[in-house]
Amino acid sequence: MTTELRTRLGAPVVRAPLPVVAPLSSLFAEGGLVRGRTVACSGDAALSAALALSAAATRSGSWLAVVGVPNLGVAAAIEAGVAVERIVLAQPPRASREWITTVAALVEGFDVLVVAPPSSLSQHDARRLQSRILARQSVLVVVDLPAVPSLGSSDVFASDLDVHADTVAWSGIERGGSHITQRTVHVRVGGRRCASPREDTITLPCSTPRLAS
Amino acid sequence: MLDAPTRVVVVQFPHWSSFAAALGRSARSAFEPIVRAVVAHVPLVEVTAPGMLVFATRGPSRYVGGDEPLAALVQSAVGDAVRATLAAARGTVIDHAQVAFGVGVADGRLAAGIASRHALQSGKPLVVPPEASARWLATSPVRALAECVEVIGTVIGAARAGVPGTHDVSSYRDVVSLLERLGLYRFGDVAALSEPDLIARFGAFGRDLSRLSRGLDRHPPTAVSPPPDRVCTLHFDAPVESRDAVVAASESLAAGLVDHLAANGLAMVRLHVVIDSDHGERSERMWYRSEGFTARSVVESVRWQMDAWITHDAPTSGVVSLRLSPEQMVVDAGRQAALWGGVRDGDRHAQRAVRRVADMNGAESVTVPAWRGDRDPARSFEFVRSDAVDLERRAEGDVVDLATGEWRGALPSPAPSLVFDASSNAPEIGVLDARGDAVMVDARHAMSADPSVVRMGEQCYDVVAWAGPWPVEERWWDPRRARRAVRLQLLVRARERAHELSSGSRSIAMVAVLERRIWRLAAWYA
Repeated sequence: MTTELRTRLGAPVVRAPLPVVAPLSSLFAEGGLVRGRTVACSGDAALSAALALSAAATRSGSWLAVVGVPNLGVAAAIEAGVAVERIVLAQPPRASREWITTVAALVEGFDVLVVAPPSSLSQHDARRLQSRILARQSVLVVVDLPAVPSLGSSDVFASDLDVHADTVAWSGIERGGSHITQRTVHVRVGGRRCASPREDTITLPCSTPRLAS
Repeated sequence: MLDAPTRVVVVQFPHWSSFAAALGRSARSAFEPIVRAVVAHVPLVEVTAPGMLVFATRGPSRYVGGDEPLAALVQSAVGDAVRATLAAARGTVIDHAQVAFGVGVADGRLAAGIASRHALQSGKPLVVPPEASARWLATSPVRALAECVEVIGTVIGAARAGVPGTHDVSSYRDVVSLLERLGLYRFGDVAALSEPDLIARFGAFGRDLSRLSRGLDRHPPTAVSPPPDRVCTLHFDAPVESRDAVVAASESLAAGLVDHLAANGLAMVRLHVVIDSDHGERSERMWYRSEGFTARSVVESVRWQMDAWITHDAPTSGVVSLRLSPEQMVVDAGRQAALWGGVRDGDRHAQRAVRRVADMNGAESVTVPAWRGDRDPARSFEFVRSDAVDLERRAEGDVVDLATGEWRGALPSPAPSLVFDASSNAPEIGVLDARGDAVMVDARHAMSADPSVVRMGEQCYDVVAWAGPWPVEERWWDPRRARRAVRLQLLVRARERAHELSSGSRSIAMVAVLERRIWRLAAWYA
């Protein structure tokens, strides 16, 4: 009843935050991703952190759209714990207006959107997308991928939370021997919707790989 | 009517989508000039997907004087269009392998599709004589099925038809793997089996498989032409100027047509769309979907046709009529809905959003990953067009088959989050030793020197540690497809530029691959 009333009044319906896997959840005051928010991921482990953040949600039935990441390593998503049967990859045209129209259409059906914005994206369009996210109560995760040319930065979005993930140590690899076995990442969660920044050092991938039945 | 395969020409660009991506355009709009180059000579061309054209030789061959001249004409027309596209895109770096195409002529879509793959390698059109087509197909490997998905259409297997107990096949990968495990390597082997046996093993797809292997088309030609009441035309009261309005109007028309056919147990596989403007301009095109048109796919075809018409012919007035006429029908195998165990609201919403985006940008712009298995990190998953899979069923978790990390020679865990395919989009990099020479690997997989510097474009990185070299030797028994490469996992640190403040130089991990003496970036741990 209250839900219906809120909808009629045009106020967003407050729903429980989307779950986040264990070592990361303690970094969020609400214990998960609050719906309707925009999270900006930066640092050299930005994409891995974004995948880790969306993993638990996909396992509880939410759908994940990965937008504009042309060469996603699906194996990494699975290692992060993403339910691969609920992941969809979209490559919208790079022009700002068409990009935003496509992503706005995806927002209607997806709880979590991991997006790498094109360099052409205007601030105006970015803000319009954010209001759509708020109305639909999804979560927008913007990743910075400086390694891929023609992608822009997350600066055009007015992010609610900033997640900065930097690798502090790679274990296993030597000069000519073995291989990378583990990655230790320092994660810092701050931003304007965060009263006091929290930080922690975790290992990635932080959940055990799950094989679909 | 005699049950004989139609003699067709197939023009195939296997890497079209990566080429369009390199141009920064949608696969469809980039393909339009190619379509138009062919349409200039052959009026009714079936466009099945960007990068793929099919048309019957019957009329055009007689006109130009035989299959050979027709194939040569198409080859040169398409070649010219490709060169024009490349000239217009001067400035972007394009790998010429991406625009390679093949023209194949044979009896039946599958044989022509395989012929076009052969033509791709030789660079000359391949015409299989009519009497030799069936024999030629019999000696072709069944693996070719997976390469001709666009020509022959996706698998509609037992899983989709809801037949319990039969062996579920949901993709050509399953079909090929099953056939090979049964010891059936060539189409001739499959053709020797009886149709009932194939149906028992493969469900609904068994019948199609039997027909395809015998060199026939998947659907027998219909004996009766569709009665006129199935042709539906929409007349607009006033000329409609907006593309979206026409497309929106086509939606109900298409739904009505598809429902009408379904009520009679039929589905259309070939559709002729005609759009007329107020000034008498006309756009007509033939569309083909071997799995049968749904209302969605009709709308998508109309949208594509409208886009092409507006951009290239610029009609001078609004649209006054839209006509959809089904040209070929098949008996609709139907789809059994699940009895219980439902689809959740979330799944339905996601599916709807995906369809909308597919309508806007083309179905190939929205994909879902499917495990394929390979040593190459970029190829261990393939990206399946969203319209080729049933997302709702997929969400139930019964279609996805994963056995990650079980592939010998694959990269060890943790997996890289960005992967680049060496054959299409992997950027070239430099892996140098302390003296500044490129590091090379000899036949015994020993490096010429320790890697010291990695150069990517302008940026230089100092190598901190490395693992490997790991040799990759694939298909060494087949000289045409053999691949010999070496992988190196590298830990590097960005070299500070003088004017930049220290950004706490962090280590970055990547994988480089050396193939034919060129180092490329294969993966990036972002």
